[in-house]
Amino acid sequence: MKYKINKGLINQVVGGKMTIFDGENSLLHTFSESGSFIFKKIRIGADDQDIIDMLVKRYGIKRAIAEKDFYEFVNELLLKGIISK
Amino acid sequence: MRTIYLKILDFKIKINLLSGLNQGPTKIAAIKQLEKQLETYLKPFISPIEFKKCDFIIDIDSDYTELDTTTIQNGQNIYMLMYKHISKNKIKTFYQIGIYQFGSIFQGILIDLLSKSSGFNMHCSAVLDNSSIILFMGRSGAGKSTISNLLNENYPKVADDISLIKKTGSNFFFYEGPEISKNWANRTANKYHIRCIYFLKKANKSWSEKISKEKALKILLESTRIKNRATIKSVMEFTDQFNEFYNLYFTKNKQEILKFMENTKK
Repeated sequence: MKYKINKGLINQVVGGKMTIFDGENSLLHTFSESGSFIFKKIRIGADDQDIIDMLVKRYGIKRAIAEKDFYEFVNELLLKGIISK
Repeated sequence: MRTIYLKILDFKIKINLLSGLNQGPTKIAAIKQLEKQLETYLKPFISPIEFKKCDFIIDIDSDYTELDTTTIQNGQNIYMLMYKHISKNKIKTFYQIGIYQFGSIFQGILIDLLSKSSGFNMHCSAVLDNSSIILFMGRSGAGKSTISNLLNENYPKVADDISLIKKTGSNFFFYEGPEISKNWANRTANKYHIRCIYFLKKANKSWSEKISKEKALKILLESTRIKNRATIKSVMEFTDQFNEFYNLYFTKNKQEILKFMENTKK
């Protein structure tokens, strides 16, 4: 599955971390290093399975853990209106 | 018609002074007074070279008819026309407005031009330390004017209320702009490297602590006047590039704060 970043949000790397400004709600979101990595991959249009594979490779973790972490993060982004399916 | 040519923050701005014929003595006195004040207020930015193409035009009209008849009442408030947009890069205002109103209009124009050109404004005071700038930010009453006045003897004040930041090449610089505020500062048309940004907190002793970019960004966004997409992007980019953000706990003791500032250079 692919996700898209919702319109109206401004994203910029600040101090190595992906930072999102939600102008409509005047909210600022800053992601951790791994969150920034996932967001950048979503931004270039990678699908969920590709991103999970990349997480396994990058952090040397089991696929089940990568999947859990990925979907937890993605669900949060969906809830906050940062991305949509 | 007389034109004042301005070069400010790398923008070219023309002010057309449109004085009509058959003016009465009161109008002529008002026109002369505003012209004189404008020349003082804008002196460092007046270009000796005339130019045809420009980024913005301000017409100052001596015809009051439009102004006299354009008032709007809303409850107890009565609004009078201060200026009107003629096109996206031209406004018309009137001699009847004073220099303080003009200052406010002009600042708005600069901030708008900045927002379209990788720049932004910050609500802060600023002092000069050799050839670089130290900015002081904080909520109303935090001491922005107080600290710049305390330091003024060794660190000349270059902004009291609004600072203009613009990206030139790949770096952001502080630009001096005209500012009419409670404490007039001496202006030049210079741009400066920014040394550090302090977020002010009043205390009994002067000390500082470095703060994260995340916290700094939040405060910077709060203190920027126009928040369009381009401005926010510029503020975020600036925060990414810049590393010297501090909380400054300061005392009103002049010698102590001067000593503190000297120590920060070591």
